[in-house]
Amino acid sequence: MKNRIRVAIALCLTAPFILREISGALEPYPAVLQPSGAHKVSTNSTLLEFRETQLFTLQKGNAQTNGTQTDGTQTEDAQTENTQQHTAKEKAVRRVDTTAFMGNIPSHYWEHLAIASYGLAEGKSQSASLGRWTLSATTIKSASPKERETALNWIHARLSAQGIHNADTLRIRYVKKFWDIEANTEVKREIKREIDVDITK
Amino acid sequence: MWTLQNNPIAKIESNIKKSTKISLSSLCCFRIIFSLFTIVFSWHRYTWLEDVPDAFFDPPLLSLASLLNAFPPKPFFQSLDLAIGLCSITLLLGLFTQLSTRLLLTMLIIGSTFQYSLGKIDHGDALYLSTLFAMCFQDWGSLLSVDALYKKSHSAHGHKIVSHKTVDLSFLAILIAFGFLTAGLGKALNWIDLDLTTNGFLSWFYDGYFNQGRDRLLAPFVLKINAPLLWEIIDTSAVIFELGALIAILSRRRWYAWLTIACIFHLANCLLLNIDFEMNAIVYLAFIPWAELPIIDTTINRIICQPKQLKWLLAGFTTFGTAAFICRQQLPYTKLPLLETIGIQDKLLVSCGIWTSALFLFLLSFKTYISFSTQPIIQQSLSISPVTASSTANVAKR
Repeated sequence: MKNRIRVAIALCLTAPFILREISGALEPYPAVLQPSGAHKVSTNSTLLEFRETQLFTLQKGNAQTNGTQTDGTQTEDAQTENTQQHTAKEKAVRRVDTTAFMGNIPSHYWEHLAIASYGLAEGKSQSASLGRWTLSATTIKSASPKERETALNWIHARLSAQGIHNADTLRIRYVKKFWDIEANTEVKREIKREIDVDITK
Repeated sequence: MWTLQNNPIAKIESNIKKSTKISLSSLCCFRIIFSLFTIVFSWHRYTWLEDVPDAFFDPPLLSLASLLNAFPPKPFFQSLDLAIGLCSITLLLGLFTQLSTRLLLTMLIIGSTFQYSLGKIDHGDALYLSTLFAMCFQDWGSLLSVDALYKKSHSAHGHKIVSHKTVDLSFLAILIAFGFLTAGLGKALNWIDLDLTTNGFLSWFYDGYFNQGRDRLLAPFVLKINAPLLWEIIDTSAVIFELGALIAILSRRRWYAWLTIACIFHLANCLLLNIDFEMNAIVYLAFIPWAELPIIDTTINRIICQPKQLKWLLAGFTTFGTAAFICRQQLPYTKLPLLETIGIQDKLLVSCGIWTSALFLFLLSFKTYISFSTQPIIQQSLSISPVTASSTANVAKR
């Protein structure tokens, strides 16, 4: 009996850890797991690289609020500005205050929600092979029409609170920031990727 | 054929039990400390989830929430918050202690399952929940509680029971050690490379300092230090500390030293990296020999001997718990709702205070903890009068 309890405890502890090591998508909850955070940085270079996720809204036929004013892109490099101005010719671009937009949702969930295009992305799954078996896990869930509608209402309510009405596209921009440690200043920014999410109701 | 003495697993278990032995009265004091910590610093709330659209619902594959298609309706989270609040107060009072512990654990797991359905599992409260889980198998409500008072009223007929048991927290220690193993293994593979041109600590520091605004307290000083060897030593030390828990639990002295180092480790994280992890403090504090600390020992003996004083203590807890509960229900969702009402808003400074206090407590009680294992403690419940119990405790101490 005692041995069975020992084996059960050992299994309950190690199985979740093994699953997490196979794939992050297979991590179970609840489990006794602590974050590893085993990433490293090069100490030779004085230039550091960070990621940032920014949100913008795009709106057709309202050219007076163009991309070169309140969206904070002036500090970004030429590439950014060109893209911004090019876009501004077609649509009005406004920067969204991410903190106000997300409200009570803690910041460590923002990245995943952005990846899932705030519930409006197409479904995605990830598979992991365990010898004869293949485990498949949904990494991004596909929303039903009703869920989509609720998500759109939520997005528009949050945007309206910032004075942004009738936006038709939510742009998720992934920016690479380069920081000089010695000068303690940001030296440049690069747009890594942009995803436009259709938020028309 | 293996006998019990020769069985290596039994030997290891026996060592872990010896390393983690504390008195039952200390454990009961810890129940009060745990509940107060929960109410003041970490009262979980999930009502904010009721505003989150169902399209955001993306639960982990292997979790309770994956059995559902969407978040539960609004009243569910309100009821959950209400029940968590009530269970925390009943745990503080020691009213239906076992039931309160199990209900609180279950509700926290359910609430967190839905919270982690936003696409990411957090690990900040894994050890906190482990503590509650370990306490489901401990009698931490047998003293200084309404349950104890109730038992005493029955004992008025002639059977006054005072527990002078010792308990071992081996299960909790194993959960802590395993938790740190899961954190340390990855670091051991990546960080220990004897390569001074890469560093793990600085990776955390730079991202926090330049990208997340973690530039307070001693963080600016880190930026001024250019000592690759020092950073490499810090990386190695972190790995040794995290993996060392597994070895430390085998010896009482080493385990207590590890817990003390853990407080230093977290305090350093707070000061240098501005990362708090204050929930772990209450987990480590389970091993403090609370009842053997001089001030608490005197107080407990007085309370055990005089049920009237216990009633006053419980009345005080009821008033505090009710006031805190009302405060919590009325305030908007914030990180430190109770402390914010008295103007304390800086979570990082609060965490530094928690870790400094925890470190102080461990240093203060080091001798008591180590010498506790050699004391002739009575291992089972005794049917003795409170006065005899008090004198027995004093004799045991001498």
